[in-house]
Amino acid sequence: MIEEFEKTIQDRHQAAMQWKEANQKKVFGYLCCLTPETILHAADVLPVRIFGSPEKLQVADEHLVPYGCRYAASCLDLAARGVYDYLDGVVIPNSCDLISKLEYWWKELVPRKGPTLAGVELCPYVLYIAYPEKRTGRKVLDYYKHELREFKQALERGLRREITDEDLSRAIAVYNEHYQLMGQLKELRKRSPLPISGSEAWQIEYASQLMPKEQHNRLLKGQLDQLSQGTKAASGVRIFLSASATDVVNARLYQIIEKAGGQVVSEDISCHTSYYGNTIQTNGDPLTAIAQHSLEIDCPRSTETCSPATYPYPTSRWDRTRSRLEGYNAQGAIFYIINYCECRAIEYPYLRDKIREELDIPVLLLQGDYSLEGLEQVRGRIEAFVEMIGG
Amino acid sequence: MSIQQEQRIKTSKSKKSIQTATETWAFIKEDYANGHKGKAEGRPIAWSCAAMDKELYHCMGVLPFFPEQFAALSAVQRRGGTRDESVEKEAVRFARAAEQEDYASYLCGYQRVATGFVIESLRTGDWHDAPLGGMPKPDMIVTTSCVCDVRVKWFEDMAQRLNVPYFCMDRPERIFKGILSTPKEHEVDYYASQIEDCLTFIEEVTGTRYDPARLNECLDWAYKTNNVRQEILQLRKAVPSPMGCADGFGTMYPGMYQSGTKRCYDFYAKMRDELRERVEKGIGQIENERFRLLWYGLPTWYNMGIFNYFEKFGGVFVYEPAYNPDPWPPRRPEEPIREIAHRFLLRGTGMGNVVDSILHDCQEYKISGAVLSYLITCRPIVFPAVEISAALEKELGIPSVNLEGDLVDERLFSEGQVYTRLDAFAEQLLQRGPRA
Amino acid sequence: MEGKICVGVDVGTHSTKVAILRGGEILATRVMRAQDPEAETPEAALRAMLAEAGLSWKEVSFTVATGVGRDTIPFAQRTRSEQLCHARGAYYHFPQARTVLDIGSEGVRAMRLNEKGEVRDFVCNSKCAAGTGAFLEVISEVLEVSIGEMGELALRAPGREMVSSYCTVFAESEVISLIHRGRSKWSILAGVIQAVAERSFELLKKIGLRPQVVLTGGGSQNPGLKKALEEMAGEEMWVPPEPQIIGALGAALWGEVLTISP
Repeated sequence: MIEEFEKTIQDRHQAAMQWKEANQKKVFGYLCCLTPETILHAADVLPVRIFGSPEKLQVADEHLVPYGCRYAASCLDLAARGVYDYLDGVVIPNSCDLISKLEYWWKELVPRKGPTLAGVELCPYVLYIAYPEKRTGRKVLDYYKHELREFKQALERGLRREITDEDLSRAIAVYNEHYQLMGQLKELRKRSPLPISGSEAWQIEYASQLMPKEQHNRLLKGQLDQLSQGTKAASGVRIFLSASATDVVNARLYQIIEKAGGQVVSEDISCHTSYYGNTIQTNGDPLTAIAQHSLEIDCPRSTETCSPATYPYPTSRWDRTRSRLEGYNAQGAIFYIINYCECRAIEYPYLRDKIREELDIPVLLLQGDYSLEGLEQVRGRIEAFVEMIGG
Repeated sequence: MSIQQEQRIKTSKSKKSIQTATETWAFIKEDYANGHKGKAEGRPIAWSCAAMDKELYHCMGVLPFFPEQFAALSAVQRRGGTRDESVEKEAVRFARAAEQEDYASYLCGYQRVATGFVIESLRTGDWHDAPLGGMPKPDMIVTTSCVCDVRVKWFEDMAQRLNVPYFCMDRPERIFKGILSTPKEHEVDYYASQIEDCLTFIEEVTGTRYDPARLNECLDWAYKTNNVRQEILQLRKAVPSPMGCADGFGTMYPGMYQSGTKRCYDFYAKMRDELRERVEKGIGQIENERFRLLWYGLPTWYNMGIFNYFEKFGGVFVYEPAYNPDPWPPRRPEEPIREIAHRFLLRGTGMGNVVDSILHDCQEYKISGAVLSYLITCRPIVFPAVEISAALEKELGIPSVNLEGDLVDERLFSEGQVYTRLDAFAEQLLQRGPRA
Repeated sequence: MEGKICVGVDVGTHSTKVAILRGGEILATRVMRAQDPEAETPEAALRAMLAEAGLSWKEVSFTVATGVGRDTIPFAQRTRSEQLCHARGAYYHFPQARTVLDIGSEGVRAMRLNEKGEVRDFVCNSKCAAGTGAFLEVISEVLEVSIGEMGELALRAPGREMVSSYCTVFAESEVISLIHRGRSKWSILAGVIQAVAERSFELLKKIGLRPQVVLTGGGSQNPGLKKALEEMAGEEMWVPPEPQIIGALGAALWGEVLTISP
């Protein structure tokens, strides 16, 4: 694997701080891939994704009840412990019941004043974006565009600079290249023999959420050239993995699957994978294009506008799940659902039945508490599942 | 307390202070009977939820049913209406059916019970083997993104299982300082478009045309009802408390589920009159009121007797914020849809809004202690619990206690643990004395 | 008797089981309790068993380990999951087996088999201990009844108390309150076993309950549990001889397959 990816992965905080120091620019953290990174990029800000860690909570559990997702709690915990003090701003989109409420806790546990003018706060340090819960429908785009405009204006006030359409278009070009390259990586993983292991693909994806996209694009291009020559092959039972966040806990899941004789070939983890291969439109108003693009994500929490006659109820989650299985010749599907991740937990039985009935692929359900010990407890099931398929 | 007593409380009903509360059951039975009759006559049935604008159904001639309410009903009933305690509650039977299908046991009790009912009914083909003959099979499923993610995904999932048209009203999340604030124009535009789309959806399913005049009629009743309910809330602030939370929850049904009808208005008008009389005569829930409690969150429907628990210590539950409405701005009959959108969006949905709101209620109702219904399966209720508890203590010096459980699934309720905790809380409150 | 020698070792938290096969026939089996300080190591046990059978270590052609501690057996060439081993072991005794329920002390798992005895799907109990052998142990302590007696006592119970909680902690306090209320130990036991059977039965329903159902693992030796499960399913369930060694037997049988195509 490429050294620069590894360096970033090993100490993401250090990497961000070094970038900040070297470039004398701002770094913003964000939760969830619904965040319009392009707007931050257009403002010369480096957006890095906020992740948790498998360590025990130290501060956040005094405020958060234990009956909520530990991943989100862990993100907050690291912040409360000062790990994210290098961030100049934090963006929290309305992406699920708990994440949206982190806006409150972040301000409580990591208090910081944003820039002020005559004592008035210009831009809150924690920015909230009211992402609509519905992805489709008559006025959804109008509404969301409006929310994004307010977000952009707050940034402009806070950073004391205008974010022009040219700035946005420049950022869109960089991100579109990223989406295309990641799309190519996705295509490569359809091949048999598999040119890249699941773990390596994970590294590329994880690093992409932490380093400047220009740098990542350059590195990935070289990597893709090598991979497409097909000198290397990863073997194993082909697995589709559905989980909750592309981070270090899930990295262990990839390793466990590989050790058991499997290879992850496709996934539905963080929903940013639905960006791959799907670019932001470059003709017309850039903010509209950005809003449109982020409404195309098939986040498990989102829903759609239906029509009694033609589209009675949403099927896009199944349609996308099917496409993540079919083209990749997946032989088994593993769902690792973090406890209290309600959206994934509710849709699971339906998706499971569809996968079994329509694709005749076995499905394994694992429940977890976002801990490495928890993953050890399900290791035996993963081994049994891979053995069951591989014989 | 002896274990026998404990056991009795777990299954006991609440003691009602006001007469009107005893009439809710007839109201509910009538709605189910009407629903079954309507279904047989081919009238459209919708399954929907709290925080939906019910006037939309009434103006479109749709008979609405509510899986949440059905789940609460299942929490008190055993199969075939038996009182034999060896027969498990219907809620437990349905929840098991859902868990059997791998719906996680940490999911909302309402969701597991209603989904279990769907699974069981589809499996057996019998839709009537349930309390009050079950909810009639729906022609549409309409939900809202308001309050929680679960109801969006859950209703979507039921629509997939039942193969019926689904609609979700998306409510913009609004976070600001305070409790209420005027919504922004683009938020009103968006929510108004959701209402319009919902009406179009109902038109397509039922073939009935939307008539603004009819909606205005329903809204007139809704507004009159809301005014009466505001009067009721004012009366409930009296000392001694004329009516408790068991009655509050026990009488929320008409307002929550049948708003926009005359019979709903009549119900609350009668209740207001009764309360007014009680207040004038100084009749309290109990004779010697020593401390006043607020119940945060939703009730444990299988155990409404818990609301009378503090009476032996001289404590009464005075107010429950969960289902009580805010005052509404004046009517705008020329644009009823924007009117609904506007009033619906007034309240903030953030954590800070919730905390501020509880602080306000505690002052208004002269509360000296709060019981936080710590519903481990209800994320929107349980998330703010710690903050509320801290804010009450810090801002108002009001202590609070957590009560762990589920809305409808009594398996998650450990009575011994709960009552021990409540006893200690009562002692704490008595030591502190009445609030200054 | 001629034939290849294959060994299966099943390393559980409470006991380790060893099975030796020669030419597909069971030659010897042994169970070592973990809490027994005198217990032999798996290697010593195997050496002793081989010696008793007049065989040498070198004659073993393949060893497969299974169980939670399967990675701790250095002399095993391969490991196989418990699911696959219990299925194969059950199928060895009963080729009609289509559903296998393994009631072990760490967990309960149900497997669906095809007509060749291959596992097509499996489900395990949730991480919570309720419904497993470990749960029965907690209750046996509370009721002061040995694990061995539990099933027999429950069978003779005149009635049955309802133990509704599905969390070990809750169930334990429920049992204690039943004791305080002066309910008979027998009927409480029957209630507890009923609750455990219900949890296991949920797994069986999830996997499809295709006959023939075979019970394996230590829990299948509990007659009360077996009877409760049969009543719920409305059909007979079969228990192989020495059900606690089925995992080790299955592992040894896997050895035969894996020597051909390792």
